[in-house]
Amino acid sequence: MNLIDRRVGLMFASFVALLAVILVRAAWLQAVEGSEYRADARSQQTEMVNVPGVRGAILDRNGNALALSEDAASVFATPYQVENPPQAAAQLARVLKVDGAGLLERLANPDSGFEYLARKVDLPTAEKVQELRLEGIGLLPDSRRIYPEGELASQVIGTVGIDNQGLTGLEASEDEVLRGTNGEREITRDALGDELERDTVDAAAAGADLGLTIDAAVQAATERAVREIGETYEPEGATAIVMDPQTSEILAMANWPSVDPYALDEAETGDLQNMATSFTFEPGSTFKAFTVAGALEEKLVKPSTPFSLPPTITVADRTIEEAHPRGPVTLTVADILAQSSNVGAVSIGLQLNRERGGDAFDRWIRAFGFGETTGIDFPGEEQGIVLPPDEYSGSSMGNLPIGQGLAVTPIQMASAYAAIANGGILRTPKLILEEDGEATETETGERVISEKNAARLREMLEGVLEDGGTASAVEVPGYELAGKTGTAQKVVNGTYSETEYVGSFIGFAPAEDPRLLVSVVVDNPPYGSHYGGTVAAPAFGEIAKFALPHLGVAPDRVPAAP
Amino acid sequence: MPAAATARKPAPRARRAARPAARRAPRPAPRPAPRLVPVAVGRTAVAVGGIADSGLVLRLTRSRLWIGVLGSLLVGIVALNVFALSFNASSSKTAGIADELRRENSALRAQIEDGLSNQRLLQAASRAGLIVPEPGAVLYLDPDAADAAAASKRLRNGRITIGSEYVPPPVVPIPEAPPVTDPAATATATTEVPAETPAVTEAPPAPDPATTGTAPAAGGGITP
Repeated sequence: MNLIDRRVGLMFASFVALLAVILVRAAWLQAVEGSEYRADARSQQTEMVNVPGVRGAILDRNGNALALSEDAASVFATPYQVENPPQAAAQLARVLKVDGAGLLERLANPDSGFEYLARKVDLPTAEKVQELRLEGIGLLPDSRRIYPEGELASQVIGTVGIDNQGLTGLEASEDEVLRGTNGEREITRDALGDELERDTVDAAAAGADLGLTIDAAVQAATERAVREIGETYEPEGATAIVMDPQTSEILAMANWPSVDPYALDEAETGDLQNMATSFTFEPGSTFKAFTVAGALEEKLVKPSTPFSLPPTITVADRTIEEAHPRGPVTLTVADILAQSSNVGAVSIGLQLNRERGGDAFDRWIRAFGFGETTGIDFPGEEQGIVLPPDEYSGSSMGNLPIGQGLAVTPIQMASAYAAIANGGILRTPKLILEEDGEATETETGERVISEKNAARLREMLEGVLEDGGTASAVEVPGYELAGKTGTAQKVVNGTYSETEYVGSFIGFAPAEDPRLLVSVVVDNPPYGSHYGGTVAAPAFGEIAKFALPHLGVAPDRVPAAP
Repeated sequence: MPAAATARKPAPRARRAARPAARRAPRPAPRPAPRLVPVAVGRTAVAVGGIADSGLVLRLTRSRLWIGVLGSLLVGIVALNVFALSFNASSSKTAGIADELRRENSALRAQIEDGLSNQRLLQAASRAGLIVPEPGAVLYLDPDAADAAAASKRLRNGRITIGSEYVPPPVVPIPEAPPVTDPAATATATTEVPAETPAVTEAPPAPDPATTGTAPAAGGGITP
């Protein structure tokens, strides 16, 4: 072997040795330290981003949005990465329009690795934050709830929490439908931070829209009327329900005081509740219609059946008298309803139980749905209180026929009156029209009284709004109205109060073929203006004046010449 | 290489020469099935082994064309990776733009809904001088069979034409109220504006509470 061959051999051996070293090192890096380097590289190059599943919108019956979600961003900080906290706090405070001291407190915490600086800011604001290019300040994609109609139907729509979860109202009860599913995305960046690849790890899914039976325009008119009650009489609360009695679809459900959905912190807990479904009260005279309905169905009376009525009537230890003292009088059943005679209604109730058994009255009021929830698609509905006949005291039948000694909710009253208005069919009040574009089921309902007796009742209830009736001041030009006033004493410390009342009115129009039913309940208006005919009935008139033409309901009578 | 290839070539011939001897050996009974497989495998191995030494393969592998082919393949692989990265980056950018547009859409939808809110429409209508008509003032027409005939007649007469453009009635601008400068002007303005009909009459209707003032015997403990 000559010199050249030896050198070549040496070089070859060196290369082989070098290759061996490289291979060993490569094996070491890959097999032993590989996982650590892979993790480091992954954390430097890739980023997992949460993609929020946008919550579905809540729409009125005409597709107008009452609540919807828009994309937003949450601003966060990694405090130990922030180079100049006071300067960063000052810059961010200007953009976010928040207190700089509060921001600085969070930015200056060196032990914290993550701090939220602002939640759910709008996109233009988020863009301004990004333009500041502050080290240690970042943005997380988020979404936020928008209420284009402001306070409209706020208690019905309900509220969502900071993580877009439903808390109250329909937002809570329909959370499964509305809630979107958050997704996750992996973004790979190059050394300069430019995006190289984006992989969807979990796809985000938007929540479904919810279509309500509510009509935003009718709701607004109803809220105006209820607000007027609130501002005029300053009661503890007021609520109104507007319903299509033919289908039991709720067109409006308003409460006073209303709640600003953007300022929930300022609202009192009680104000967040929907009085229409949660307020239980003794209905008073509005209940007399059901006493008469039972007697009509049992064929004990007709609208023209006369009753000779003494000034008062005593049942066990209880003496019932009229609101205004009078002498002995003979009133027909229609007069008893129109003039809201307590003695007359008690007489009819007593006759019902006397001739058809001790539980006849109870059967009839339960047939109208009292004593149980209506089943409306709304959370927290109260069922009211209806005592079973075996728990009656001797004087119970002196109370019950006039709407005392039992408790109902406004929605129960509206639902039961809808049965009278539509010809005798009791249906579950309907609040949800569509889920994700698909119509919800329409209930056929259950007949509780005959069509003939329902018509008789409607005719009798027209008398309430005619001359001599308890709501004669209310009129809607062009339409025959029917309804019933109620003024019930509140029970305070087990005794009927002399100063605290619940005034109510339930009416419908056109009287012969009702297309609109309005129930107004006012809790504890000031004494003196506490009558249902004074405090609640005018609101019915105001709502009907707007809603009837709006819904295209043709007048059923020629307006009287001025 | 050529020498080796030449040396290997006679091998199959030698095997072929050995075969007749095998045929001469006495066999108790023909059992083709078990022997067929090893023979086939052996022949295949020989044939495959011979491919490397075949003239065609030798010509191909010694060709300078391979340099170009391999070079192209290497460049192609690199280019493929570069393209893949580039497409990824571009797709990522497009996805980013799509996300951005979706976000903008969501914000715009919220703006539209806000602009179409009932309250704003009412305010706009009010500014334009529109009012909600009194219920009795709305005239409803009942269509009947004669309407179609009447419309047909009007079409024939040319009084109405299909597809004719709707001409809206002229809009009368509502003059803004002049600034009140003196009490006399105020009085005039006040008298010209019709007083709004009060919705609620002050006269209370006949009240209807069931009032005795005594403690309720039944249901007295109910707190509404």
